[in-house]
Formats: sequence, structure tokens, C-alpha cells
Amino acid sequence: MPVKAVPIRMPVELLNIVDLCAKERRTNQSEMLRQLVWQAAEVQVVKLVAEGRISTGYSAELLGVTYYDIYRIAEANRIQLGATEDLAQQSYANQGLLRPRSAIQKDTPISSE
Amino acid sequence: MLILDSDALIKLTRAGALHRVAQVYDCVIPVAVYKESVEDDLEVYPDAAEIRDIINNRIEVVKAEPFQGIAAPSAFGPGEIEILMLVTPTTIMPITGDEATVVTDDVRFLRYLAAFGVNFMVPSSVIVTMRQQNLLSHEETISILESLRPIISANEYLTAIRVLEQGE
Repeated sequence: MPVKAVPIRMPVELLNIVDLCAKERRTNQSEMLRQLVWQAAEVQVVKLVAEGRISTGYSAELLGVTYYDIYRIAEANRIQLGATEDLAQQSYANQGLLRPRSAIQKDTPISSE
Repeated sequence: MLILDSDALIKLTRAGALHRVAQVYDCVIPVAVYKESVEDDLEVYPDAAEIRDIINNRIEVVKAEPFQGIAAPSAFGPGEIEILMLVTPTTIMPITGDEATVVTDDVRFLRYLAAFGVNFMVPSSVIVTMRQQNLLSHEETISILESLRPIISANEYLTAIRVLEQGE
């Protein structure tokens, strides 16, 4: 992954916390900052998915992770992904389009295999 | 015909319902959805292996033709874009038709489909429809919806229960 230097001003109190975490995690300040920003970015991107600003597929592409990772991040941070009430209700308007295959008889329970 | 995205494949699999849906309805996925849900994750996630087996047995993987003369919409992943290639009227695809219905639970994707008049369903509404067609028992339907509950929105779950109760 290509990297780019970014000058940033940070409150001393926040830097003290970063340094404490870096010490506890046995790493340096820069690496600790990268890890913290990366974790925050994951959460923010998945929140954008929940808000419908970006799609799940795009979020996975942005973060360089899999679809399954997006659900893992959402679950770990208690972010609910899924249709809004109006979209869920709208989807029932298309129920009539679901026609079982001709070989499947209506009213025939399907085996759970 | 149902066109499923990775979101629908994964959620229906986790609810133990994908093989039933694929057994009953004609289902297709574009190549990019197969890659997202199976190829990228086979080694790490058991769901991916299960999805692969169900696809191999019951779901057709189709190649989507690129958009002609227009840019792909932004903020979508490869799987969602290939589904749009299948259902957008500006592309010429044999499966495009009034009865093609996209199954997804992704809010941005659902809004886009709704805005462009593309038929869509959320995973829970497919399950409720199967119950209404007497293809699932009431107990099976409740069991699947309960399995979906942690991975869909509370509003979607409550809507499913309400529609189910109205039909019982």
C-alpha cells in the first residue's frame, strides 16, 4: 500500500494518550497513530454503509477487506446494517414476481436437505 | 428470476435459507458477486464454502456486459455494478425483463434500484413470500427470520413479522 506523509497538529493530551498506547503495545508513536486512524476509518466507513451513503461492496473495496469483514466490523461496533423500514415495505410490492420453478409445486414444502 | 448480490447470499446462508431459495426460484449471480462471496474468502470463512457449493448446484453464474457509453455509478462495489449491468435498460442482456428481481439488503443499492424502477426484494421478504406460497412451514419461517434477525435491521425484521402475521 502506498504511503504519504501528512503534517498534522494534535492536542498534547491526545498525543500523550497515543504515546501511552504505543508503549503498552510495544510500538512507536507513528505506528500507533496509523493503527488508531485505521480502526476509526473502518468504523466510519461501515457507518456510511449503514446510512446508505456507500454500498457494502464499495466499503470492502475502500478498506481492502472482504464482505465478511464488513459484517465483522459492523457487529463488533454494534452498527446495524440492513434495509430501512420504507425500503423493506416497498420490497413486498414485488412478491408477485416470485414464481417457483415449474418443477416446484406451490404448497409443497421444500426439503431442508 | 432472482439476481442476488453478495449481501443477500451471505445473509441467506447464515440464516440457513439460501439452498431453499435456490431450490425454489431461478437464481443468477454475476461473476463479480461469485468472486466477492466465494473466491476471495474461501480459506477463511466457512460461509464461503457453503455458498460455493450451493452456487455450483443451483445458481447460474452469468457474465455481465459492460455499460455502453455511460459511466458506472459511483460508490458501488464490483458485484453491485455487475448487477446493475444486468438490469439497466441501457445494456442488452438476455435476463433483463420485468420479472428480474434483485435481492439485496444494502441500503444504498436498494435506494438506487428504487430510484431507477428496478424490482427488488430484501432477504426477509423472500422468506415471507415462500411462507405465503406454502413452500415453508410457519415454524421454519420463524426459525429463518430469527436467524436473520441479528444481521438485518430491526425495522426489516419487524416488517417481516408483521406481514407474516397478516398472512397467517
